[in-house]
Amino acid sequence: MEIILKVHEVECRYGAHPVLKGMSMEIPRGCFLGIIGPNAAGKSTLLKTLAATLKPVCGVVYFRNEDIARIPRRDLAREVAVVPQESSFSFSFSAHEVVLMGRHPHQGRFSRATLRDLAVVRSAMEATNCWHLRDRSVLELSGGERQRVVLARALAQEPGVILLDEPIAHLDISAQLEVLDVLKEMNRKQGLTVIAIFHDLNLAAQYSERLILLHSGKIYAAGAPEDVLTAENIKEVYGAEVLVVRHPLTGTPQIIPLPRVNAEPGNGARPRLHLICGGGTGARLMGQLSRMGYPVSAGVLNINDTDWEAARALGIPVAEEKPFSSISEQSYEANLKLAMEADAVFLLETPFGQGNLKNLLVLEPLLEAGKRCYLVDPEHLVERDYSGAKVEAIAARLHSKGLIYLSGQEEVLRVVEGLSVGDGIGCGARLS
Amino acid sequence: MGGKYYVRGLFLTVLLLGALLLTVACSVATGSADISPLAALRVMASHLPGLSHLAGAHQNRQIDVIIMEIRFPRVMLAFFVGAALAVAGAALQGLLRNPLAEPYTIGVSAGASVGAAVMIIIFRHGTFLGNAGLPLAAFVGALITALAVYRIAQVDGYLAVETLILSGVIMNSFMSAVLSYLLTVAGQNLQQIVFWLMGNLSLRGSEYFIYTIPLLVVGILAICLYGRDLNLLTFGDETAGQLGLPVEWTKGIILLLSTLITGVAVALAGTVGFVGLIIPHLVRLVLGPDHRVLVPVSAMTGGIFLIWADTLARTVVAPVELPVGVVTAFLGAPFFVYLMRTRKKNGY
Repeated sequence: MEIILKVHEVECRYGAHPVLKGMSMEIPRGCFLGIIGPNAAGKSTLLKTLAATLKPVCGVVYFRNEDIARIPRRDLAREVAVVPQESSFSFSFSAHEVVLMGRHPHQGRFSRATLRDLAVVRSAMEATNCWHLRDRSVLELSGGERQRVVLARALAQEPGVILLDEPIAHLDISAQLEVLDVLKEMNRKQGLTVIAIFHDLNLAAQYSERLILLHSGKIYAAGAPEDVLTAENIKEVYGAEVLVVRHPLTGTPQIIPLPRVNAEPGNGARPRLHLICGGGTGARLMGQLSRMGYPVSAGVLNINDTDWEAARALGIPVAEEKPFSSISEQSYEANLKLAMEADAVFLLETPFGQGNLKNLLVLEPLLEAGKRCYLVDPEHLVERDYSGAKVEAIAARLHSKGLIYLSGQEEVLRVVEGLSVGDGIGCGARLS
Repeated sequence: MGGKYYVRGLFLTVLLLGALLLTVACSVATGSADISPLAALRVMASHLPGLSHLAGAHQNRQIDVIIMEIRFPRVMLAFFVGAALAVAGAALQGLLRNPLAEPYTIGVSAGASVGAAVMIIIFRHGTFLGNAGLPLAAFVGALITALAVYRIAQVDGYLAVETLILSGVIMNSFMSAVLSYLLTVAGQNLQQIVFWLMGNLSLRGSEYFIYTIPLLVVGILAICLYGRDLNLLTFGDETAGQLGLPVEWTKGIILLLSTLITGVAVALAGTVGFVGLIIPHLVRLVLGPDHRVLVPVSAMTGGIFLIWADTLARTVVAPVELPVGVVTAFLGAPFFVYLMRTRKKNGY
């Protein structure tokens, strides 16, 4: 594939403060490239360097194998358009006048706007949904409307490359998607190369083919979104704990921030906990407990189940079963083994069908072995029973063998705090 | 849209030319000798090639002299000075993205004043330059100051707009201090200097004005050609560059042209205030901020405005003449206040 922009050993400084430290990369033509990174990572500086607005202290940016600093501004403006983060307007130009100024690099000093110029302007404004604003003064427009006018101005340049500095930062969600969809469509249909800085990592992942993650003036990671947006990378670069899951419709990685918990590293070992769950009933507790520092395991979970995804994202041990399959003898045993290693076992509010009845029955050998077992929300057990078996009766039988009832997941946290290592045994003795 | 544009352009041209003709006729007719505007027009027209038959046998030789050698040159001087100041004001307001910018923001007036004051005080007995000495000194003073302002504002070959305004302010106050000193030691020349400072179109004879017209015309027309560039510059330097403008070069040219025509105007008429500030505002209010329209229309409007101001200046308290700067400020200040109050919410 043709390389349209090439950054070679570029260094930038503001005064003595280095912003880009020896950066190199190649951007193929027709690519949708997202640039991400925390504040002050050098994203805007990189973009300005690519636009030849900023001259690097050393290194070269090549546009189609030509040093970009040597290309006359007019010629470059026919190829590369820029949408800045914020546009200040000092005078009361109409939206149409502003977009028409995007035709400047195509016009001579003495020429007026041609019919073609006007047609290009119109289609650019229609594409960005601002044609109806054409007679309004840009000073009266809202931030989102103004941003669309500026985008239309950039498109009116008929560029092969468009550079955007957080183009959607001030827009609401529908306007964000509208702008990104326009770019994506031009990228697909006309081969427009789009290079955009994103603040929103999820949108970046969803729209970009390739991502570049910048960290203090260097490329920390580059590649496909799923390779760049990993929990480890985010933690390292942004210093934030996140969960990386997959978008349910597009399959792109999506970042979910994890709330901070006061996780005291704890004096000595913490009790092991085993959660039996499924269908999304355990994900929250799993995350909370493991971030509080407890060793957590889970089972039996069907592969691709919400809880299974969460467990995998958290990296905790799981007894797993094939998707949409009944629990086999093998996974039952795996579950039992994990549970036996724990200090306490919690059966959460998962619904029961024929397939996962064994997740209830597994408690019996555990209780018999004197393991401390809890059932969350026994009151609504009947409503969750799709198995045809008498789940409530089984629960009652287990209750008599020492199964402890908890009213909800808050209770679980309370119980967990009172636990200590080694509590798992001897509970039967205490009951007797 | 194209058609609409041409119709509007044609309408504006006809309107402004008509207004100019009317203004010139009225202004030339006004004065101690009683002449009707129509007669004045006929006398002026008779000097055009091919129209000499209009003069008629009965044409008064004395009226002819009054009109063609005294009043008409002065009206033309007023027109070109007004046009130059208004154009420079429009260009600098766009370039500096600042509604308070005017031709004197870049230090031209203060520099010219010091140059003129030096000439009046030190060379009061005249130099070999004769009457041309004063305007020449003012022009040199203006140029030196403006160049100093650019030099101060320029960092690493880059001329930042904010720094430019700031260094203009600094140079203006420095030059004002120099001027105050000169005024203190001026003694008997004080009145002459003060009169010059207030702006006046009567001091200069037409003899060197003729030589400066081409300079003004070229400067004004050249700035008119930079209308679209000025439009782009209002977006800020970075965006203008990304839209294909060689920003530093363009800024340099426009500043140079503005300085040049302002310098000439000040040298000819002293520091006539407010024309460069309010005329562009007025035109922008009516026709919008497009510099391709704003600059030429400001030129015409500024010229016409200054002719009227000068006509008032020499008639209201005749036979004493008011400095024209007094009239422009008198008309301009209240009008500017009005503009500020009504336009604040909409920007400028």
